[in-house]
Amino acid sequence: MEEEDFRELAQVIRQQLQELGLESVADIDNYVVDAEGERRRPSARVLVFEMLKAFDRHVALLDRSVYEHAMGGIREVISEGARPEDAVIQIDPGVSEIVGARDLFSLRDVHDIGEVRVSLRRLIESLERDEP
Amino acid sequence: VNKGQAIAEVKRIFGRYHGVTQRDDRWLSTLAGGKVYELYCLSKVLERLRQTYGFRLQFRGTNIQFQASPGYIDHSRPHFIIQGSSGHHLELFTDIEFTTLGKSRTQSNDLSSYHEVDLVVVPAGINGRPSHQMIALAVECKSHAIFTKSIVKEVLGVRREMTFLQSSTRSILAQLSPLHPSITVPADPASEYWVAFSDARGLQYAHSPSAFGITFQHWQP
Repeated sequence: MEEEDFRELAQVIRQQLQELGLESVADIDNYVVDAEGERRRPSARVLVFEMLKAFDRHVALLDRSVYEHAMGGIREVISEGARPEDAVIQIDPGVSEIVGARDLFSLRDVHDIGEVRVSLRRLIESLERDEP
Repeated sequence: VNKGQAIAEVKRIFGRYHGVTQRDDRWLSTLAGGKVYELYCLSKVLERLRQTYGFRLQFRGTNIQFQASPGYIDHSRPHFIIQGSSGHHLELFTDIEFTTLGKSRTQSNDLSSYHEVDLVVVPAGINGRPSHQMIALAVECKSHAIFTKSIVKEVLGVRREMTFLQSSTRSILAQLSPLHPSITVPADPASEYWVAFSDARGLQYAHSPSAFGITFQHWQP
């Protein structure tokens, strides 16, 4: 793919990010690099990779496999006694009523969204293989 | 892959994400995302306390419990016990406000007299809001997909309210550690302050804050 193709791809990715409300990930100014005291905008090619990787970091926050990995690590380092069964968020009752959530939200209930991350990484790898 | 295939795949991936998350409450989704990252950081912190410092770790409670709103240390809430050398015990709590250095000097009691930290390690037996003098380790977990300079400014401000700058001395954790690592901080009290983040760009901001004993940790799930 040529730089012009990456420019078009970057536009599509920005539009998708904005539709999800991820303005900071879509903001090109957040990808400016400081090179020897000079602030430079990345090429469209670099911008595509950076935005896809930032989206992957965002998706990871709602990925149940991250929860499971962390819980496994915690159970493993405890020397003796009980291991935690789950991780929950305690929400003030007044707030939980408004948002329609339970007072205790289990992080086990975040999405099984690993397939999205696998697809993202495959796409990044296939684009990287296409380096000029 | 050609341009058309790449665009189609981008739309498919984003569509799949949207399909899974579209019914989520935005507030709850953001909260849960932040806490998943906090849980990931907790696993990293405990691993380091075990491996680098040699502490023995126990858990009190059934489930790890994060707070939607930060609060006080309450021993009826789940927490971790950290067993150091010579019978010294520490405890780790989540989502705790500590009272500031500025408060101790001005006796003020307004909204500036306390700040939240995501994970805090203090000597065993403390209740309520710990003072800045009681902190052995404080950890901020920044889940932002994009690391921005405002995070650096924020943690510099929190560190200012935690310690005085002084010549380097062994950290409280290092002093209590069975392994006696040679970890020093330029701070009085000699608390450690770690800032965890998932965007590698955060590492570009690490040098100047290190002069104040702020350690940047790139932890990406």
